[in-house]
Amino acid sequence: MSTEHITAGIGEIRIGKSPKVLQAIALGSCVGIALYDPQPKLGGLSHAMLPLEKETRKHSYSPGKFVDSAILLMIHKLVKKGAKPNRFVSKLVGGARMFEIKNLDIGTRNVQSARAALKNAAIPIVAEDVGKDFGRTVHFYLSTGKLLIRKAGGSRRHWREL
Amino acid sequence: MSNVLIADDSTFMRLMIRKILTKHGFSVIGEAKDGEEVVQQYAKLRPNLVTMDIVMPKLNGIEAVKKIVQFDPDAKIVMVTALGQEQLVIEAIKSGAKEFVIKPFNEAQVVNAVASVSNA
Amino acid sequence: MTGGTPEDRHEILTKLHADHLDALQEIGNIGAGHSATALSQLLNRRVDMSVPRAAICSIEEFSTKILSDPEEPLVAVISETSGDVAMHLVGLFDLASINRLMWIIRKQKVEDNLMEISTIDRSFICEIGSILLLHYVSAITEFTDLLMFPQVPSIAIDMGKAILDSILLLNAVDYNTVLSIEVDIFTDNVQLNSTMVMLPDRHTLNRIMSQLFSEGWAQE
Repeated sequence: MSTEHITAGIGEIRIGKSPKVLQAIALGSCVGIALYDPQPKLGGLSHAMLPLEKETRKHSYSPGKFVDSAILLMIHKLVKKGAKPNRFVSKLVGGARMFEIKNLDIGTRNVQSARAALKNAAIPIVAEDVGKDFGRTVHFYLSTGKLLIRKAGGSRRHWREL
Repeated sequence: MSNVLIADDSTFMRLMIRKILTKHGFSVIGEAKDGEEVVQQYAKLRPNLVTMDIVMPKLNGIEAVKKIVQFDPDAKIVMVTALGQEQLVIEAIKSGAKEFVIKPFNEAQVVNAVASVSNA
Repeated sequence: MTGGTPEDRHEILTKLHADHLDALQEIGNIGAGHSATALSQLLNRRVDMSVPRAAICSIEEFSTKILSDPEEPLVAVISETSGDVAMHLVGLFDLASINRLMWIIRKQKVEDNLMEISTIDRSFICEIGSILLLHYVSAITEFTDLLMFPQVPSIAIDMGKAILDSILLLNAVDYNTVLSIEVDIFTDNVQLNSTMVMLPDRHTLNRIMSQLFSEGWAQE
């Protein structure tokens, strides 16, 4: 019996309950934010691209695309399902600097934005694998709250656990 | 008088070539958007000259040249293409094309190539 | 396109008809044609190319439609242009293609894992990719008569989707759709195959369309 894997595509937020597995594939400068309530074993994964919603000139409603609005929306969705924010823990993945073009390092800004938003929501970040210059795929196991992270070219045996 | 058939999968390119040729006194009697169509149109319309792109769906330009030359060894074909490699030029000429214009081209390049082949 | 929010009326992608996409495909054709010629000279072999594809898709679809495996390590050589025309140009190569390239030019193979490529090989591949991209840019400059200054290309070797999504970010602040023009250039029965992807931003699109269609394109 294999466990159901649910993918959070770019700009998407996915929530679920144990024993499901949430995943974000090939996070480069994008950041994956995992939120977990260990009691009901409810969790969410946001695959966000850009740091701040207010930076958009034109407002087409895509809260999942921006770290700050995605985190708020994800909290809201989890609470609706019965999770309690005072039990939440979070983990961060991604936000890499994929190439040397450009001075604006969106990956780093994404991570900064996530830290700020989580601090505002009083949610502790208990683990992270962020920055540097490589892409990551993350699998978030709702049965345990653990993340398995893989880099490019890594085989099954090269998962890092967080 | 030169009646021309234009073969290119790009509507935009066919329009550009048509405009240039019409402006310089040539008569565009047909257009084809892939290699199979140009062969069919050639047989049907019997133009004096063909402008032929290389990269086209169904049949590429060089194969189309070969087919046309098979039933009309005197066919006058000018390759007008973005692929400008020596090997391809040689292959096209060996297959029967008479001239070669590389995109992006200017008006004069197209007109000179077409005029020289049609007057030969 | 009538009605909708103020953003819709400014959303250039909704104004593009088949003719416009066709012109963009032709730009891809000409750009890649020049890259193919350059590659042919480098390798002393014939290089062919595919019919170009211009398509509008969502941010999520973009990488998935280009890549067969989002996590497969690929080499991407990336050039950004500035000037009248700002766009990203990416040349993508898979492991087999890099091996083929290295074999033809240097009679050697890279590791079985692109991620373990040596610094020298990496730099060499960046040079090759850079030549292809610069030829692409100069061809478009001639065709559209627009000024384009290519920046020094950079190279990324990683999961294809991580690279492509990260390039998209730069275009994705205001919009959820992206226009891309893709062409494959290949040699040796596709043992060496590179997908060249052109990503013009909205402002650039507007400039190109105004230039090519003058009367037929409403100015912004």
